[in-house]
This record gives sequence, structure tokens and C-alpha cells, in this order.
Amino acid sequence: MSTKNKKVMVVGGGIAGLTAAWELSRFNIDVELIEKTPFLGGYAIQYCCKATDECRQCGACTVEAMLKNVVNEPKIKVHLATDVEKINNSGRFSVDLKKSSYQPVSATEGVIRGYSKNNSPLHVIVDKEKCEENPDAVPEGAVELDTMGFSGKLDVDAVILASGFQPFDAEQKGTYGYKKFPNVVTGMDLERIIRENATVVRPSDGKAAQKIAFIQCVGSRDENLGNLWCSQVCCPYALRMAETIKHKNADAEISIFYMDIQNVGKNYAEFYEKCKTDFRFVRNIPVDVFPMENDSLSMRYMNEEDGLCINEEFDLLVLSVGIMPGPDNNDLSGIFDVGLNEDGFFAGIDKLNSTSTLKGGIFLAGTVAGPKDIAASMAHAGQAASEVIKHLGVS
Amino acid sequence: MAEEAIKLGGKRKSTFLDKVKEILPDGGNLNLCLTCGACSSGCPATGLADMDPRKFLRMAALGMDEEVTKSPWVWMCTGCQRCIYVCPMKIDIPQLVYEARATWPREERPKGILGSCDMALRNDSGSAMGTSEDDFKFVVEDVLEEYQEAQPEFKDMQAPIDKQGAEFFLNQNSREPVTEPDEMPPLWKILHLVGADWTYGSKGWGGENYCMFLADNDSWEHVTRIAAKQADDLGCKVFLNTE
Repeated sequence: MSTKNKKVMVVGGGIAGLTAAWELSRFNIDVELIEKTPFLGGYAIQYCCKATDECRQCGACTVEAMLKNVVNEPKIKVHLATDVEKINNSGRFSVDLKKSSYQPVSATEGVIRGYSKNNSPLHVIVDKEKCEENPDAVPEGAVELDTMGFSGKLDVDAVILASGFQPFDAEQKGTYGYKKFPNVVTGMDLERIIRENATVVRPSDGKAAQKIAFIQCVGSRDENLGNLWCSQVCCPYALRMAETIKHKNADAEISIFYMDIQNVGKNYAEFYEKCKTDFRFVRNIPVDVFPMENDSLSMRYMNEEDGLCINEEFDLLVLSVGIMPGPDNNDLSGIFDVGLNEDGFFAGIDKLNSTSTLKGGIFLAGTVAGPKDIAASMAHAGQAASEVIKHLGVS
Repeated sequence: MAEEAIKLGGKRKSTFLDKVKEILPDGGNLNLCLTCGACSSGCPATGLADMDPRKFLRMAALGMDEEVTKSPWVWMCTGCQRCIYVCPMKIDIPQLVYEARATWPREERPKGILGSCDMALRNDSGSAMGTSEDDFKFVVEDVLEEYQEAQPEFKDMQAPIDKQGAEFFLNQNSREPVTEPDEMPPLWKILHLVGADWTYGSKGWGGENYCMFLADNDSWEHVTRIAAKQADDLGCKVFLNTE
């Protein structure tokens, strides 16, 4: 069958959406890629490379490569700062799009920047007044957020939902003092710190952190929060991150506080054994964090050797936050009439086909359907693309 | 030849943990432990008597009933419930501790707690100091008068006992009227300034309930019912428990 006029909408421009769009374009399918923020790449583009003297297969570089593929592919039309408003299903899907209501969470400057040099535009003006105060600081080619976004209609033959996840909001675990104490950061924050500084620095003073603690399972596997799932990515990202830090600074003292290590992924068993010689693993989840005068953090936990509680000081505390359902899942579930599972992720037909939904023509890719790392998101997106191709009768 | 499969003989005997699970809603989640140890990191009694909440629950789960129930640690737990607050699985360890206390013969329970519960049973004040109704009344009136005179801005302040129809029924740690009477007026002042209509009760004014800490259910209920009945008899709408 001819692929002429076949068109697919992909919702979400993170690694799953990028991969799905790219895979579809390989079959000559036209893709409309909708992204609510002003930048492609999602969370994955914000991650730093975790290579030591060898590649750790974290996948961060593949995101950059995929983003570049997509922006250079004429069959993929990208709509930044755009939301889906409604959709009608009458054979084809008729979709109403609108400018997204996206606002940056914390823009201290008037301009925000994409994480990839392949982002176009790379700089977006979010606060005109601030920019007018200091026009020299506005980079060339910067685009006003107000002028971005697409309002209008599209007709498409299928939809892939790839709207992703949100990192756990660590403020909900109040005793850790996230956002109260500057040197308590999340794994996500640490990715950005390393990407921006090429090394681990303390947010409070910009100095190198020597003594670092990671706390695992923050927000995951938690009945109190209603988040019973394992996020799967936090053990690998924390240990890879710790190895990266250790590789750059052999004197760094790193402690991993955990309940059990989810030993998943290629070569992970071997990698974990190496980690055991490089860091201290403490099988205890700490609870109380107290700020010290020098902005260090004193943490109380039980020492397993003698069963006594001790207070230990750290320069930096990293909370390994998990993968939570995307903030728009409820809205999108209503718009597309596709159900969520009990955890709040989108529900596939079954475990063996987690990319198809009960709604014909609507498919799922990536963390929208549950926790995944970069590689698994890409594989899932590839599977979604092939289900779409089957559905459309394209070959 | 493969050896014969090992057969586990007989029924598993009912353990202390099983019994506690039977009486708690959802079994107190006692079988959901991930052994993460957050309970022990946050517990003020960790390390006392070579015990901590995680160890306590694990030992109970292993059926070490003797070791668990007889540990003096059960009396060192303050019942603050911080372990539940920080537990990712909302496990009710304090209730497990409570039931362990209840397995002790009453006379072998710690003297301080036992004595305080017995004192509270001596009269209807509920006071663990054994303070009588008359003594309480005398101290409250005496202290009130002193403050009304010394601090003219509080000359109209009241501290009524058995005021019929008051909105709030207030109780009082009974150590204060006996040893620290000046600890009482700050709360009176707040209630005065906000214009609250409140009263103490001549019966059931003692707020502490050591019979609860003693894990003596009948006495705990007895002390509680006296206070509740007094509040009802006075027609109070809200019981303000200060302990």
C-alpha cells in the first residue's frame, strides 16, 4: 500500500517522541511532532555523559544524536510550545492544537536556553521586561515565547502519545530539606550541575564537593505516597553518576544509602561489583537532615555494625528521585479517551503489547506508559512506531 | 538419583506477629516491610537495649516471640509514631510494641508507669499524681487570683471548674498544679484572649494517661471514660486534650 498522505501525530518531544517520529519518517510517513515546551529533548537531553575511562552506556549521547536527526528530517514537522486541545475520531483524527500555556518553572533570567546546540531556537525570551533592561545580554536569534506555538487544525491517521514523565517532587519528603538547604539536590539537579560545570559543585558556594551521599528510592516504592512502583532508573543513574564523580576526583568519598540495588541492564552486575570497591554502601535509608554552619549537611542514620544512630556530615546530599506519571496524564487521558493504570501511567493493552491502547489508532511510547531508561524508551518508541505502521497498513 | 524433596512438616505455628496482625486494620501492614531502616534512622530509641524498630519487626517476623516480647526495649519506645510517619509502607510498629507490652504480667511492668497508672485509678481526677479534686480546685483558684492581681491586663481572666455548658472541656497534665503551677496560666491567657468559653472538670481533669503507656486496656478505658462522661455531663462540645 502507498504511504502517500499518511500522517501521524506524535505528542511529546522527549527521547521517546523523537525516536518514534524518526522511525516513522524512515517509512516515508509525515510526522507532526507536538511539544509543549519551547525545546525538543525533554528530560533526557539534560543528562550528562557518564563515561569514565569507558562508555557506561547511559544513553545521554544518543538523545543528542536523535534530536539532530529529527530537526534535519523534512518529513517531521515540529510544533514547539504547542498543546493538543481536542481530538475527533471520524476515520481519521481531526486535532485542534493551541499555543501551550508553558511557563518556565524558575526563570531568573529573561532568557532560557535549550540543552542541545541543535535546539532551534536555542534561546527563548520568557520575560521581555528583563531583556529590555539589559538588551546586550540577549543572544542573537533569541525568539519570544509569546510568538511561538501553533494554533490550528491537523488531520492525522494515528497518534503516538509520548508525553513522558515528571521527576518526583522531593519537597514531598520534607525531612530531607530539599529546597530549604541549598546542598540537598536531586539526581536530576546533579545532571544539570555536571552538564553546566563539567564537575560536581555545591550549589551554595560553587566549590567542589568531596563528601557526597546518595539516598535511593526517594519517591518510589512508597505506600505513604501511593507510589508503589520501582522507577528502575535511579540505581543505574546514581551509581553511574557516582563512578563519574570518582573518576574525575579519586579522593571523593561517596556513600550510597539504599534498601536494595535494582541490578538491571547490560553488564550491570559487573559494574555493581566495581562500585562496591569504590563507594561505601549503607543499607539504611536516612530520615533526618540538619543544616550546618558551612552549608554542609548532618545526616542521622543507623549504623548497621553496632545498631546505633550516628550523625555524619556531608558536603552534598543527592536524592535519587524516581519517575512519576506525567503532569498532564489526566488531561491527556480525557482528550484522547485512553485510560490510565492504577499508578497513573497510560495503560497499554497488556504487558506484551504496552504500546497499543484499547483505542484504535492511538499508541504509547516511552515513560508515558511507565518507568524506563533512555535505551528502553527508545526501544519502546521503536515498537510503537512499528505498531503504527502495521495499523496503517504501510510497509 | 535426586534426593527426595524436602517437605515442610506441620502447620506453621501462630506467632506473636500473626496475633497482632489479626487485630489491626490491614494487619498494620506488618508484612510489607522493605527492611529499608528508615524507621530506625528516625527513632529516638534506636540503639537502646541493643534494639531498633527494624530489628524488632524483623525478629517478630522470624517468630522470635520470646526475644521480642520480653525485650526491655518495648518500654523505651515513646510511642511517638515517627516510624510510621517515615515508613514508606506505613507499617504500624508502635502497635506491635504496644501488644508486646501487653504480654507482660502487670506487676512486672516498669514501676514508674505502673505506679502512675495505679495512682490515676485511686480517685476520679485521672491524675497520675493522685491529686484530689479539692487540691486541684484550691491550686487553680489560688494561681488564678495571683495572676489577676499581678497582671491587671488579665484581671478578668477565668479558670473555671465544672462550668455547665462551656464549649471546651480542657484537661491538664497533673504534674503542673502540683509542682509547676506557673505552667498553667499561659494557656489560660491564650484562651482568655481569644474569648474561648472553656472549663476544667473536677473529675477527669488529669490529662496524662499512664494506663495507656502501661498497655492496660481496661484501666486506660476507665480513666478515659471518667473524663469523657464529665465533659458530656457538663454539656461541653469539644474535648481539648492537652497531653
